[in-house]
Amino acid sequence: MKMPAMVRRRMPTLLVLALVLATAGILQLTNANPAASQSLMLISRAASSDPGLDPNAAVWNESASIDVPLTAQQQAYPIGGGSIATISAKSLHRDGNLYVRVEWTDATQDDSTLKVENFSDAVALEFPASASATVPSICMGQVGAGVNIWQWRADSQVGHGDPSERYPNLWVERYPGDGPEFYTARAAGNPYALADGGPVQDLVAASFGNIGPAGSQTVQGQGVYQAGKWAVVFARPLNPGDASLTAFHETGTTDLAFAVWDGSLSERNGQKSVSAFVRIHIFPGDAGGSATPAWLIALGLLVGLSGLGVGLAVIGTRSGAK
Amino acid sequence: MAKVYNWQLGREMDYRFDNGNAKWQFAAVFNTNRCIACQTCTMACKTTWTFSPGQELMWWNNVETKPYGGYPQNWDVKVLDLQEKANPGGQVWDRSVPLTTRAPYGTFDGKTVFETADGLTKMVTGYTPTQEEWKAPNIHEDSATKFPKDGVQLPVHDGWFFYLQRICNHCTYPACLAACPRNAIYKREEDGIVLIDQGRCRGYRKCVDACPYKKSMYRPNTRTSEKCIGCFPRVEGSDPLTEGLPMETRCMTACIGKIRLQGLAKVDDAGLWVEDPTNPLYFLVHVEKVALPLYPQFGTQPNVYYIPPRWVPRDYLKQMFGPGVDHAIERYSNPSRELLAVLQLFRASQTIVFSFKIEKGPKIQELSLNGVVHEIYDDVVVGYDSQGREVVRVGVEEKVFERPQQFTMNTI
Amino acid sequence: MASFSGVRAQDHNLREWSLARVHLETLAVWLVIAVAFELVILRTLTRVAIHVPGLGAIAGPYEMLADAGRFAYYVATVLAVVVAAALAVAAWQVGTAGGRAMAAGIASLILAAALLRAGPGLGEAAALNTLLLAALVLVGIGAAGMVGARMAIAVVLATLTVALSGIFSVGQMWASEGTGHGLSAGFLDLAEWAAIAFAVSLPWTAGSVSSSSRRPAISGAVAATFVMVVLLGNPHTTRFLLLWTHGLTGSLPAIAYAVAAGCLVAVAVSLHQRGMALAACGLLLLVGGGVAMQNTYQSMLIGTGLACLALATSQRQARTR
Repeated sequence: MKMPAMVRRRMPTLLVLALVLATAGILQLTNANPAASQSLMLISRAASSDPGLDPNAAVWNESASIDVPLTAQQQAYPIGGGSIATISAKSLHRDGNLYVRVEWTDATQDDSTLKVENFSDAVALEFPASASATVPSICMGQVGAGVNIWQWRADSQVGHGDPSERYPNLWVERYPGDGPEFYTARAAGNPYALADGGPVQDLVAASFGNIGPAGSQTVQGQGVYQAGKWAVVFARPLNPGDASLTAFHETGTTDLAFAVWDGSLSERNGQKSVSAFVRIHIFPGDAGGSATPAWLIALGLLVGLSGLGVGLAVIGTRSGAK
Repeated sequence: MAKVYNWQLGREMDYRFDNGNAKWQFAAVFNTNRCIACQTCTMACKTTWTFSPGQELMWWNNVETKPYGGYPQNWDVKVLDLQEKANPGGQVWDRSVPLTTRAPYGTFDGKTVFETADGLTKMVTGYTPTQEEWKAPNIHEDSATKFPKDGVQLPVHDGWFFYLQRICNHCTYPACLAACPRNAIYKREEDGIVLIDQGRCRGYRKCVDACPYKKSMYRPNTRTSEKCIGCFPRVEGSDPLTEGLPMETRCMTACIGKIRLQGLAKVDDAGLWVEDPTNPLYFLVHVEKVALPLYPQFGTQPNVYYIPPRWVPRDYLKQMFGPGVDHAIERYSNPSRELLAVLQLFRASQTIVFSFKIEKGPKIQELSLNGVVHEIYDDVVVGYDSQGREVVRVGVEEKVFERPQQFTMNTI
Repeated sequence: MASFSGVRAQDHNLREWSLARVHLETLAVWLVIAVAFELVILRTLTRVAIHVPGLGAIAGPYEMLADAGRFAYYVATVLAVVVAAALAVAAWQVGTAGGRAMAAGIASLILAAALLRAGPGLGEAAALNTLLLAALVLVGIGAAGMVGARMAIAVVLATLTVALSGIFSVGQMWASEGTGHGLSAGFLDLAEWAAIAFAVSLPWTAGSVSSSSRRPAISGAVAATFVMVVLLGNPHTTRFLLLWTHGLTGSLPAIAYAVAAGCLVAVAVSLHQRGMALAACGLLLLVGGGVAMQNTYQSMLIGTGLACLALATSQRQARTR
């Protein structure tokens, strides 16, 4: 029994396609992504001493910084931002804690929100809440993939906004009530209104307009304004012990995005400068670690191969031209 | 953007959300003609809700002297200016349409604060008043436009001022609610009261920027915004004092000038008031049309209605209360028997009057004013609470009581 | 063949070419279908869907759709490598300097992608990405050498797009690893200009659209109108999607993107009508690859796109002797 000529002729092609489909099926089942992300990578090395929360700690010299471009947020109401072009980021880890230091230029130090027209300078880091939910590189994390956001605010670092902080001579005869129940938002459990909340809030969100506080607040931070720049350090245990928050590993890569608010331009909420996702790669070694020789050999091979190809090409042309 | 019907504008308009599910609407009528700016309402509110640290500049209820006063300063002309710049020469009314309950003042051909905003940077055209502008709540108190040597007389005074009493309008289409990117503001189904969820607010102050009446206020030490809560425990009857019956707010019941009457109006799914001429609010707003919304052209469908001051130049009043001013002043100056009776309900009861009945009485006076003959009858108006029980009974003629001998000393 | 200029249509010879009798054009068409599916379902629909209120009610169908999109993505990644390999062999057999350079470029591209997938350590990611970029540029140079002068302009513009955005990304990577400095984001703007110039040049460089059939012009007009409508109708979501799927910032006037899309579609339809399906595939693969250096899959699409375009319109026939 002979196959028709057309089918016979197409058989190899169909076989290749079948093989491709089977391979794709296996990849999908095993959740193995054959492609690799080529986005920018922030490398977090082991620090030689505890970086603490001081942005000026000498240990930060051990880490190289990346400059991440920022653009205006144009996706959701209220759009805005774009006033800050880049943010520079560094990262270290030590004793099971991750440290991220960011720095950006801002001509004004806006750290009071006492007046209704005052808005605070602020910066935020955003991580996918669950690493496994996203296939890296082309943002496949839409199905049930939330984010974990750490936001530092200058005004929260300075104080909790009582008028007496800025007006030391303020005098009021008597407040009929001064218990916690008279600070309505605090009494309502709004963590943003707490008098003893630190400058960093650990937040979770799954879409626009539903950002809220994380169940546990384990992120610390501190900012310093000097020479026209804000420098802010975030610190958090690699593993927060809370399944809804991003967990980091001693070796591993996670996505990371940045947002910056300039208070003097009344930026808040969606009015912010934002980055695309870059990657943060936590590397167990310290600054002394370097590429393994095996990889150098591979690189050499690659360069050699390309050279060979070009050489052959030239020879091929010359012989063809004759 | 959804399309909603705004009966105060007599047309559909753009709003961020569909019409809500409010079944009843908080509403009030303020008679500006009677106010003496004693600020009792202001202090009643202040001592009830905003006496704590961080609320120093916060006055949910305020009474300002128009035209110069304003809390925050110049709030209304600033919003009018923004609207005029966004739609130059176009902020006009069409009075040629039939004046029905769906369009009692005609049709507004201009743009609302929602319609002049781009929906991306702002949902609502507005501005954020600075702290300085909130600091002098009673600035320009009693400042008249001028003091004519020969005095003034009706119908319109040459030199004038009047008091404007302001609380949150608990708008049918709140600008604050539309502006909040956190969806932290909501309008209650049971009474239409608009509240900021203090647990969700993150102090973005979009509501402060958006509210054209500037009744959302920022509190720096909780970093959230707060606003008039319509004394909701009283309105819903859950305050122990109310004994379970809906009761008027603190600012209303404290009014010694008897200028205020507050209640609840039943509304349908489209946001229109359900016809009920026995509800004193419906009667005043829709039957007599003697009380008018404040700056209806902003488009939020505010729910505090004002009986306009009789002596103020009409152009100014029409800008403030819309084109229904002439009719309202005419009705107020020459009241019907029913209107005169219903006006007696103002401050006759703390319990909210849901319906009234008028028992006719004898003619007690006939007088002629400006060639018009007025007949006054001593009708009695009876007010009923939410359960249909009588709570108040007042006659048009004020009763005279003689103090017994033993109380000749001025003891109160 | 109607008034077609600039490119000699010799792909009928190529059509018969086979690698162990595997039909290259069929594979390329399948790749385009998989990429289109992945682009529409995964990169666009599931991203837009998160903004749809009440998504929870249709979570079941939504997840099925997302799964289907993911499958298309896996098919596309695997097939892209297969097609790239086949193209490399075909290019090598063309025998010209361009063909051989292109073949070497594709081989380097596959190798660099594989090494990047293997997970580079410190100091290697930047080097490997640089190599991958060099490989892409090599493919582009080879492709330019294979085609006629006019088509070469288009190929050079496409290569320039890749090079400019790639130089920015690679510069950033070197900076992050402690060597060199980050480069200005101006490179990205230039890349965007180059991408638009590439698309707009196509009717001239890849052959006139004014053939006897009106279908190319109509298709182009429809595509341009569609892009214009979505860009003006919902500019912010559309621009966000453009950025994430294609690396375009959307900073140019909407009309530029509309005209570019119109030209691309019109020329692709025209090429298809003239029996040059492989060239049409090349254009569509370039669209799928986008502008920015985002991941090795999209880089592979750019490489295969350039190679398809060059082979389909090459001056010399592939293995005719």
